[in-house]
Amino acid sequence: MIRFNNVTATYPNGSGIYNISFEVKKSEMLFLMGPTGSGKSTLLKAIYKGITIDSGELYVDNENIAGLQKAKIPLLRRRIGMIFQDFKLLNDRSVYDNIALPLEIDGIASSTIKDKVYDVLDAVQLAGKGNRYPLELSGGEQQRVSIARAIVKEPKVLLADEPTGNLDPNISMEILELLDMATDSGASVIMCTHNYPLIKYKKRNFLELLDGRIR
Amino acid sequence: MSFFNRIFCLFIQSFKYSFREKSTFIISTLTISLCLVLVFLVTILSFYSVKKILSMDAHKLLVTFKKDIEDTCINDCNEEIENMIEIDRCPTCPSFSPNKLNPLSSDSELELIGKSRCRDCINNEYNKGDKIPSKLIEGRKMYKFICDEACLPPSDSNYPPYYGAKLTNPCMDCVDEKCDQSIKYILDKNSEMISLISAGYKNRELKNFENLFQRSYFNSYRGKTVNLPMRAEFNIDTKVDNEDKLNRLISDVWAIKNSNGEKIVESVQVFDEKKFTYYKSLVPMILGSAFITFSFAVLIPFFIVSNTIRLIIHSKRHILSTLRLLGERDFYIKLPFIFQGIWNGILGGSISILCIFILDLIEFNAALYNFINKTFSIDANHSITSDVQFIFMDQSVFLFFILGVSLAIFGAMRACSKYLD
Repeated sequence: MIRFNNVTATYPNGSGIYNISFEVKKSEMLFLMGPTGSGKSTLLKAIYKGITIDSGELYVDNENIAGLQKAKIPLLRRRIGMIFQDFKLLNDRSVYDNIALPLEIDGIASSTIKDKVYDVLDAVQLAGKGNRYPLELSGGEQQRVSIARAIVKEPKVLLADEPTGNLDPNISMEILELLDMATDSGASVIMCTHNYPLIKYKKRNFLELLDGRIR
Repeated sequence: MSFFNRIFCLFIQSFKYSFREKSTFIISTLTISLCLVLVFLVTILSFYSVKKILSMDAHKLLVTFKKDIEDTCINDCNEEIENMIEIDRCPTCPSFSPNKLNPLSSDSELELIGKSRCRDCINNEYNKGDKIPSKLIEGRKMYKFICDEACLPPSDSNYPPYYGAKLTNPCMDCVDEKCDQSIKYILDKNSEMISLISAGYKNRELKNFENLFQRSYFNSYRGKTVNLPMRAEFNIDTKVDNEDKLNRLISDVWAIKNSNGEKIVESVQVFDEKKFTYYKSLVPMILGSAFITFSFAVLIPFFIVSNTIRLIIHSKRHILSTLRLLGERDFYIKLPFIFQGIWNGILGGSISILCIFILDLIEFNAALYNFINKTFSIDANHSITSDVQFIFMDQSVFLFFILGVSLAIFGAMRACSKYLD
């Protein structure tokens, strides 16, 4: 589902990721580890085209996105679910509206949106909180909203950039379980973290980055 | 959600979002309206000033005839005067005859109604007891003709100036003929130098007076007789190309006599050439300053909207980056900001139209055109150059509305292209 083939992507100052090659198949989860500044987030950015790929091939859902036109980037991002450490929720919209947003962007009919949003609210155990605003929720609940927003369109690829970074261990475990659930339902998941104790018991793939290279 | 549905929702939402940044939105809207009013006034002022100056013609000669030329009409005019009461001493004015109010087969329905309305009014107003003698019905009604409005025919009617008017009488015919004769004397001797533009017959001069000063000539302080002289306006040929030739022409015209050897010209006026040249030289300056003011007044709303939208974009940068990550197209990200610009323009334009309407209501337009007419006047009597007149609330006002909306759109587009990308 996601295949890196000698991918190099750098920022103008020269930092970035170099000659990365690996593959994440369908229903697989990959934990991307490494210290701060090792290139974990840059690797995710390369997948959603937040950074220009200098060389190599990067396949997402069998399409090489290395030379993807700028105009097609929004279409690529619609196929990817993204979860961030700082949640990136729209605080002036309700939980329901936040989750419905990707579907609205996809141009899906509002009746279908309603059904899907309520289903996913159930799945992330936020049923009944659809009318609340993000700032009225706890950090763990906000991250669940963020996950709900990422999985509501059933993406084939799910990227999680330190999703447990701001959460306590118990809540972090719950978030991991939600990501597991997404993986089991067929998505390819890449999760960045530097919280090794949290994931060491997981029987998943691990990849460690150091200075932009696979260690 | 369909494309148009989504666009419409964004349009409505953007209005709601505009009011979240209430103070910035109100300030930018008021600035737009203020600048549009300024642009409007500058455009009007400069356009009509230039129009007035360009309508002046340096090669014009105005000849005023002596009152004496009318003396030979004394018999005809005295006969007319005999039919008048003391306050109505205008033998050359249109007179009134009740017979003219009789319905004719050629009259339209409107004219028939008008005549009947006119007759009713005259019967009511002029036959009240003995205050005003019924004799007046056969006399002159130009002096404070009470039924002027009731007797006014429709604009396309063949009944000027009012139902029941007798347009000519022997006195008037005689006086007009004297004017024609005098013009002929002048042209006979100077036909190579001048050509006639128009003859200032008695009635025309009376009408000019009334139009210019917005009051009836027959005012008590003017005395009881009509002593406005007749005039004629001539074009001066290009052959008269220096001051000597012009002075010679003036003295030639001034010295002209009729067949009895009597002088017929009271005065000869030409444009003040220096003043005229001075006005002409002002045209580039007027246009230049209008252009500069116009540009500033147009650039201010443009940058105000642009910077307002920039502030809004800045305050929403986190939301925008999230929308981008979710795969929203640039078009839909920019559109709400363009719509906010449009709302700015619509409200600013509407307020400016309201201001212009109020200015029109308090007759600021009259103050403005009087100012133009008096500032750029070349002859003391205002009778040679045509005066400019205008109203504010015509279709051109909506051009300024469109200008306001366009400026706001371009301002918003600039902000989007510069700060959103």
